[in-house]
Amino acid sequence: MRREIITPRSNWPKKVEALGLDFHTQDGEPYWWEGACYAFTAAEIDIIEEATETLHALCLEAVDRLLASGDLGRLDIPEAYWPWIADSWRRRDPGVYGRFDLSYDGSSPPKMLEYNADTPTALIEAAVVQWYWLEEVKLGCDQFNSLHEKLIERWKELHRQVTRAGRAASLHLAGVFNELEDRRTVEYMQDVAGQAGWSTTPLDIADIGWNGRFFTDLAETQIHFLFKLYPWEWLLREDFGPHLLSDLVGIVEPPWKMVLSNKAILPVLWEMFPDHPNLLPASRDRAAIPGPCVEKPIFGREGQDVRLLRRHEPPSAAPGRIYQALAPLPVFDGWHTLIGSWIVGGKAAGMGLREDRSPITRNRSRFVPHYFV
Amino acid sequence: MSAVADDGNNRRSTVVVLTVLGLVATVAIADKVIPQGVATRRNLYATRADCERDYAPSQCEPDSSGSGGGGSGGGHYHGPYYSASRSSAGTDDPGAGRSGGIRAMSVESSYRGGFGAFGRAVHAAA
Repeated sequence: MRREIITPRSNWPKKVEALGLDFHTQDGEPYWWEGACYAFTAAEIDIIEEATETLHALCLEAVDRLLASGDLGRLDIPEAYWPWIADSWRRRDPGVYGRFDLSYDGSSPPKMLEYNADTPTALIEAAVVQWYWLEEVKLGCDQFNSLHEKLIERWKELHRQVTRAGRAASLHLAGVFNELEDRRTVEYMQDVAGQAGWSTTPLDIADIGWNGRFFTDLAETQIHFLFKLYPWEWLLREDFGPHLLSDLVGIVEPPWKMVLSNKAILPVLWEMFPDHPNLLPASRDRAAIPGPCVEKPIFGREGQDVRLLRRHEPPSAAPGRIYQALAPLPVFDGWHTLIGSWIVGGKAAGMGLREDRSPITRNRSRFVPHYFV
Repeated sequence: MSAVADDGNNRRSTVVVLTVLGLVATVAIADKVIPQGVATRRNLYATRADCERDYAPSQCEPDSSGSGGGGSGGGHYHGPYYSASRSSAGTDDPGAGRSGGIRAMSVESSYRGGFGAFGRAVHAAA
């Protein structure tokens, strides 16, 4: 694993915009950065792929055990929703995708920092933009990235399930559309679902209606299947949250995914699989992680309120935090590099790399393409 | 937009075709967002004839929601949605019908803005 400094394509902004990445520069700073790339060996890709599928299996096992125990209080999920979440798991309501954030330096086993199992983003750049970059810049090289075709295949599988049940394959897709990245991500999911045969209707999450019997779109058509780029923990706590219990909508990602997208799952995983080479010690109690560690809010996103604590440094007074042993990101040319490794339909599907001058990866951290030989 | 990789043994997608994304100017996502807490109503009628006494024929549709009787089974019809608040109704609002909804079996209410508050607050604070 190494970082190469390369010359960006002269007209790269136009090229990535044509692929839907019109948020490539934010507040004057590049988000998509092709003045560098990361090179891997095939053996390193094998390690990342295997770790990703292993971690996914561990996570499913954790969901199963945790729901069997009936104790979702550990995850700060409102008790009224526990049976509903358990039902979703018993039915194995299908999910589509997720993204593990890994710390990997090319030599030690990849370590799971968290699992973005509910609303992962940085998808277009990983699935599409870096693919086209490879075709033009690193012709003859390969890339760990079958995201696009795996997403279409996954939506096809869900389409088959729905039509076999005699139901119309009509999918609504919702997000916060005044956020450009969210909007483009929903559009991309609309694109791949449409290619898989679904009839698709995008709408802003605030435009979803409730008519006393079912959820509706702006045309007052009933919503039967919904892809939502909107975290479960927000949905449950909003005015329409209790209507979700009616189970009238098949939602992607399904309710049981909220067990995994919650960082309080990290201590649970460590308790269930202690000393696993791809996991890090984690606890709700700072004292249980005596060395340097990372304090994370259990519902935080994109590095928000994440703090690095030195050995013996006390935790913040804020509630709802977990503590995870520090696995420093590798540093290349002064950039701290994180691997986002994707799961689609239960299979490892590719990766995207983010880099930042800070040891904490945030929503503006650069996305840098990769290849391997 | 599409491209095809030349080697079927690779671990990248063989083909990446986009049909919606990238067509930024033509994407059909509505920019308009309904304000939070907006309520609308529509009348449910026992027959098409009852509905057409209140609205134009083109505004009456079979009710296909199931619990309301079903368009093919129960034969019920609903009129168009209209604003629950007369003061906030636009000029194109169809209103409660010529009879004011008296002929309706029931009046359904629909609300919007029950999702999205956290998202907008979080993004506004970012």
